[in-house]
Amino acid sequence: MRRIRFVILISIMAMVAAACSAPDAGDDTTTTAAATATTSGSVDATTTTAGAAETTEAMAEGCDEPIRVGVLQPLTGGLAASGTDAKDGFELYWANHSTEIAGCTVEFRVEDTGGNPDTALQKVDELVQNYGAQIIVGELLANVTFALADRLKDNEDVIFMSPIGSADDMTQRNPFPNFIRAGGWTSSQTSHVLGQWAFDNGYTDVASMCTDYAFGWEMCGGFTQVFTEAGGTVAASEQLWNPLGSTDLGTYVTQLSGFDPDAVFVLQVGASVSDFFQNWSDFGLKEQIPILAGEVTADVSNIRNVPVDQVEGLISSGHWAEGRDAPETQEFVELFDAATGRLPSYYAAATWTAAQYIDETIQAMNGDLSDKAAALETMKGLELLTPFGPSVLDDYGNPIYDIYIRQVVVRDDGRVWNVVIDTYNDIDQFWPKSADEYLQQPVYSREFQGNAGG
Amino acid sequence: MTDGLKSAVPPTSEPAFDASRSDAPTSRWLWWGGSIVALALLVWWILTQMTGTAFLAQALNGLSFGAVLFFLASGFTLIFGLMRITNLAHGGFYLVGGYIGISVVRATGNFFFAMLVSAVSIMLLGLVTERVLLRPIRGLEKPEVLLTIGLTFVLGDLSLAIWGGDPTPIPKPDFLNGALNIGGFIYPRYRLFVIACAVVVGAILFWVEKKTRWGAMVRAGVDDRETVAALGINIKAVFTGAFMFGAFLAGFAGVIGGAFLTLLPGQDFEVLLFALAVVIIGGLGSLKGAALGVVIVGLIDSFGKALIPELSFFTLFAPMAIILVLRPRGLLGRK
Repeated sequence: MRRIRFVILISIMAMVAAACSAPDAGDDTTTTAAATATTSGSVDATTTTAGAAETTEAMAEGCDEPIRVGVLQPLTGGLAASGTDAKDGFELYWANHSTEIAGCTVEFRVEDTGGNPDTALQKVDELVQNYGAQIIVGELLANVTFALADRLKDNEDVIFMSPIGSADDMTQRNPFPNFIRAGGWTSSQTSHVLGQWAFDNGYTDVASMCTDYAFGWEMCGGFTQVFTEAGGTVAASEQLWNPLGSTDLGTYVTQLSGFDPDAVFVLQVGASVSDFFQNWSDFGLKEQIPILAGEVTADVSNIRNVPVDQVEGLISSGHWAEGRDAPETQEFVELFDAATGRLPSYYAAATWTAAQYIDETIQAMNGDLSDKAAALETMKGLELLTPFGPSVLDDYGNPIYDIYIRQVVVRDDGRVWNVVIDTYNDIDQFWPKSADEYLQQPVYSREFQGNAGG
Repeated sequence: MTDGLKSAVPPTSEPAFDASRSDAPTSRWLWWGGSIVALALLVWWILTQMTGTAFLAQALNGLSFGAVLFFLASGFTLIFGLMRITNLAHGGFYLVGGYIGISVVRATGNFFFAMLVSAVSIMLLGLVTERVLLRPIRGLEKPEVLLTIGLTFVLGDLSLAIWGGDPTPIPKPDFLNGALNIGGFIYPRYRLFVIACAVVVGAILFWVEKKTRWGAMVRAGVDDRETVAALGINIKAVFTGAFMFGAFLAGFAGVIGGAFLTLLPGQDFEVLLFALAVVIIGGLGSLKGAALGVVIVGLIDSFGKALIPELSFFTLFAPMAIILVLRPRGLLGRK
């Protein structure tokens, strides 16, 4: 009997551990308690290795002190691959640009959060108080980003940049004064566009299959609202929600085929991406029902190991398209590929762009970042040409980008990437509505998908 | 007749009659009859919710997922039954086995060769684990559990360092890709292959357990280790052999499962959790229990996701809790 109790206890431990290694690739919830609990467990054991600390050398001449930037990413644990992409993108920028700007030296240090909010808070205190960071760049997970924003919101000496964590409300209904999303995006921003494109291209009846947490609700809601308000149909009974980290998606795929839709909007993260495509092709559905994928699901980091024939031709929307035929994109892609042997994911492009924003802001402020409010205003006023394309920031500190409709094609070297097949110019986070109208409605959730059909 | 005799005996000399534990035919009938009626009602209800084809597809989905778990759970339960070790490193063995499989498939292009190489490598890893790490702490429950769970973390981080953290499925051989069309019913070939594998391996395991000298030693070891040792059988060697065989199956499962569930850091704990659910429901230490457990867990997982997707973890673990309350040793566990 004791033995059995013991085993139950252990199995509960394992359950927690299993949940926490949930491989959500990158962006998620600010609100679900589950997600917070999720990330806390795995890291206790995996982050004992202290984060790689990296510092550029040389002291400043024009400034008394170097300008210090702290970067927080998960470099161990289930999100390590995405976090490493983010780290590499940031480092690559400074390897290719001078750290001497307007007589000042820029230094940075990358710290490992393990995807854990507690660790992240410890590390950010250390970066701000001991290292003297004036700018913090972080994190992948929205719950960690939210914890950091909350810790930093009253600190007038720090600018907090979030190029990846994409929870809608952080630049909508619940903004923080010193928070800026330069190089970033909001979850629903790119799927709004896909909803319009799907309707314009003749789809009328679409089912969905999204991961059941804030990021999935926002991505799915963005698509559903614009698509149904344009005139399409997404039946509530045909919206499937699978838990984050579900094992074996065959069951859901079987259900989707029973709905017999024109197309399926899919948002999966981490291992569920290859699991989904595997099942979709094994059940013989790839030739029958087109998939419209949310940005992260088609990100090169998620599809680079999936058998090519399962994803070739996949349609998605995104602010990032590594196959976009423009010099500002291809220069970065070639640099990143040469340095790491990988095609860059949007995580890498995002931190590179954040570094670019930092560089340009210091130049525009002539090296003096002592007035953080002025520096933030300056950053918001910049008009940059980034690997994403042209980028300006709206009043809420979120970028206005060109959003691309992308298709997965196979390159000559056999690797897959996303090329642009259609572009929607100057899309802000509220498109196609105005900010005032958009902010009247609640943030997307499982209950609120903005479905015009009810 | 027996009951009458029992009630005639004064209560002090005999423990009170316990319906749930008694082997009296009536309570057994009630137990099994009730279960069958409940099951029939459940199936009937499910059939009102979906078409027959969908029902068949979902049942096969559940069985194929259960089949992957069977390779894990049978090894886990063998090790537990014989050695009383809750080997939480089993998930780590699965993950490393899968990753070795990927490397071999990439190098040679041969899926079946990868299965063999993985299974043998993990068997050797099991040998080292048992001989070097577990032997010094034999019989100490908590150190054993901590050591095996710690080993899982070490294996997980090593895999991350060697194979990276991107989700990676194992490429399948061409003839197992795509779907089979059986009179209009379309179903993935690979899943059918996995079910067939589990049936074959299961049959071999039962045959070995019942009919061979090795099986007899294992059965005797499960029942009474001291006597087995006293009869001149080297029980330590039996332990090592069982542990290696369990690891062999976990490595095999890594390749079968890796082509199906995708490999990723963290997958080790996920499959371990399901394997634990299987052996807890079926009964720790029982091979039959493991077989029954995978069918139950697989079907609950599949139909739970299909009917109440938002509660899919609840539908899986709530029955586990109920079974534990009613039968603390699992459905087929021994006292």
